[in-house]
Amino acid sequence: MVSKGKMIFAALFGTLYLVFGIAMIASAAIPALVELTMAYRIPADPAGGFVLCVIGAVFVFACRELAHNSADGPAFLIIGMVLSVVFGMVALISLGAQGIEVMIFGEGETWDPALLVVPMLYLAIGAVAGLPVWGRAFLADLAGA
Amino acid sequence: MRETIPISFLLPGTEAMVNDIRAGDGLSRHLVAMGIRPECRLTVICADRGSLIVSVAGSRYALSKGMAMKILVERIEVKAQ
Amino acid sequence: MTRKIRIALAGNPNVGKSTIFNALTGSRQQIGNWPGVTVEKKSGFAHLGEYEIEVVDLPGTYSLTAYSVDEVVARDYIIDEKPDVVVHVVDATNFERNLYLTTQLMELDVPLVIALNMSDMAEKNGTAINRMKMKKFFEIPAVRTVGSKGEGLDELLRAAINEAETSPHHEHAIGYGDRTERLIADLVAALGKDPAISTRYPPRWLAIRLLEGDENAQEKIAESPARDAALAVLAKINPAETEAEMADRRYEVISSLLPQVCTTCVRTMNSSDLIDRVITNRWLGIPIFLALMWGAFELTFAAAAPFSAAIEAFMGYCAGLVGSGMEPAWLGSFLGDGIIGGMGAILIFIPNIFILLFLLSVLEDSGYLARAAFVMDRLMYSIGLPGKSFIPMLIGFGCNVPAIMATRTIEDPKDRLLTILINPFMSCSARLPVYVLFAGAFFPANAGTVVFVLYVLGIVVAIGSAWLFRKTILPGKPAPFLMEMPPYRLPTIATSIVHMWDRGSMYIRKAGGVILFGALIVWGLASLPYGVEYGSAESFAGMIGHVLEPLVAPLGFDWKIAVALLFGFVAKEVVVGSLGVLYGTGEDGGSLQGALLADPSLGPVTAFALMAFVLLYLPCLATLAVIRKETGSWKWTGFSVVYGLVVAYIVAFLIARLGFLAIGGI
Repeated sequence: MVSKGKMIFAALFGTLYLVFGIAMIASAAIPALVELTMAYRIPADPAGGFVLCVIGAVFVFACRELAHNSADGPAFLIIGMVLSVVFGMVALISLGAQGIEVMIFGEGETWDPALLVVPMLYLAIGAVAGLPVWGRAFLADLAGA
Repeated sequence: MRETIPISFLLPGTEAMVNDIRAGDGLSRHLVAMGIRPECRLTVICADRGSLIVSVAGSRYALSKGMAMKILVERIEVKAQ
Repeated sequence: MTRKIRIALAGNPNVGKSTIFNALTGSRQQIGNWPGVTVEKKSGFAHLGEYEIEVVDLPGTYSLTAYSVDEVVARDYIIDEKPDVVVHVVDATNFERNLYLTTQLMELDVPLVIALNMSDMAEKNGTAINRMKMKKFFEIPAVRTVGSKGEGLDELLRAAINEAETSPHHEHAIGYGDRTERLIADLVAALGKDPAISTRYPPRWLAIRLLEGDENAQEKIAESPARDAALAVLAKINPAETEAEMADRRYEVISSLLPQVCTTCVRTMNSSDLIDRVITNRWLGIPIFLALMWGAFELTFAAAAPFSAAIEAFMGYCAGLVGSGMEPAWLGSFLGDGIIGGMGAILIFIPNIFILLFLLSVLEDSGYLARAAFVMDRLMYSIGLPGKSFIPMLIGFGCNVPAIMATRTIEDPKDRLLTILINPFMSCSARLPVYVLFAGAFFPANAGTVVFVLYVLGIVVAIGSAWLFRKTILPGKPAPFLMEMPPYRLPTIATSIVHMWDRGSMYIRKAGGVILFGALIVWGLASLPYGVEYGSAESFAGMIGHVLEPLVAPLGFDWKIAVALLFGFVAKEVVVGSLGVLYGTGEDGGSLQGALLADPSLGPVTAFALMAFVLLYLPCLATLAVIRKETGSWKWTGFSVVYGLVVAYIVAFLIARLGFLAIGGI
């Protein structure tokens, strides 16, 4: 029963990350698509898109392993969540620092906080929800600080 | 009569006992100091096309295929993984 | 009255030895070199009560045979320098394997104390080590420590002082069985004939080493009159068999003692292993690695930006204070153009370098980097490099100096030399100001992509060079990969900062030393002969440039660029400063870009050729110094220079010619 919940979670975020990732890569490659993706606040960034695809792939593997009831399944799921948190923070710090630079040194330019809303960040907020639920026991087993 | 095979052919989860190490003096001594020596037990944690991570006496070591081919073992227990 | 004691820290790699060393010595430590070899020597001081304790951190080793320079350095230190106590740092979560080194340390006939480090983790795993029983069986006191939290350190020092002050010492010995013990006795007798040998080296230890076929031990007795007698004893045995028997005996002792001393000792399959199944997965391993690398670089550039902007603003303010109306004028120029102008470009990139090094330290301390080396090994092998080279290559993106020092972990000398030779092609932070300047000016819409292409070009040239060297001057295959995978752990910010500082401080020393010196030489050549207009064609700098101009003309460069490239030999950041001087615009990026754009001899093609040239042309002075130190050879250092120049010239030439053809202009 618990497995079912994990599987759905993994399938959901696997799909989301893959879709957004591919969208980001595609809109960088095919300029015509940019208008479409811009509407959903998806930047045209091939590298970022690649990263999202990687996270998506990890979740998809998680789903498959969970379906086979293998011991690896939870590991893939938790790594997927850890990666989404890590890159969520990368996006936050990166965009935040740009904002700080503009505000302090920008000479009157204003910075729009809406620039923070990118898939790498908002998908992470969803994905990280699983960590306190499923991740505690797993991660507690690791060597502490 | 048990067959001995290089560990690079083992699957994850397999436990084995080291039978022979085909390496020069320096490398053999180094392996012995790490705990990889005839008659020690090891467990395969991960394996991918010949290179693997094994557990020996509580430590984990990663070996490339070239290195793994030098360590010959007898299988103790095979887990389907 | 202070009493002085000297202790040496020995132990396996990855046991937290350096954490304990740092905790004991704090800022009172210094790093040097063990004489004659490139292994790093760390020593420092600690205090306890009336005692002043010198602490020497020996290299981490699995044993004390002669397998690697590290092992020889460690045991020679103990034998020759005779520290008062050796503290054997043991990983309590991995007790069994660590004991092999314990058995060998015992034979060195030196007072020993064991530090059971990482005890917090061991206890969490349910491991219980009975220290009383350890003392009873090994006759060595054991202290519970947690280096990362600073626990048990005072007790450790007290135990060490106690051992040092107590005499006579216990004789620790493992019995090797009758036959072998007779051989040992015979050898000890034979060696006893030479008083020089038997007073210098512990006789039993030397006998055991010789029986095991230790080459370094054989060298030690090569000149001795006792040699023949010893060799006569050795001729009676089969060395390989004897060695195997003795190793077996050591493990027998360990296995019999272990259950009595320790319960639940072995680390069974746990989360760390399951994580490895994901991280080293055949399909996901490399993509995860690439994604993390992207994250590290993205964070580096983004998070550094506000700091760099702050430093730039500060430099601008200082330049303003100094520049105008200072008497005498040459002093104003010296301070403004020379020092501030020269140092400016470097200091702006310090945040970049430190953030990158910090992130790499976090990845290393978490245990991930070891897995990444394993994951990349297959790919690296196919281009002729060992998996371990890729960590120095990564560090090279920050600065080549700590990167080349990091090649010390590569044991095979050919592999190591190859890694050192291709490292300068990893585009370090110093080249970034040049890219930012030219890409920003000539490719305004695509500056980011152009810079990315340059990084890739560097990697491509590195790989191509590795392939070329393997086919010609350094033939052979890389050594097969064998590396311990420490358990994954959550890194402490403090430890990662210390590691970041170890490497980053090398860059600061470079900035303070070499670059400042070079910047002042640039200023000097641009200001003389006296009275000449600063940085004009009549100054020495200009004259040198005109001499060099014909050489670089085929690449589309003029004399100013030739001068800037020449000065870039000191440090690549100086290229921008020199151009600022020569175009008369100073450090202000905006107006320098304007001046460059206005120059009729410069266009997008030449700009790109120039950036490629700066990327490839030769390692900077500081890097050359490190190459010389690490390879110990002027030949290879010179080779780096010549090879770099040749590759840079060819690539820039191709870019220039093909570019002119393609767009019909510059």
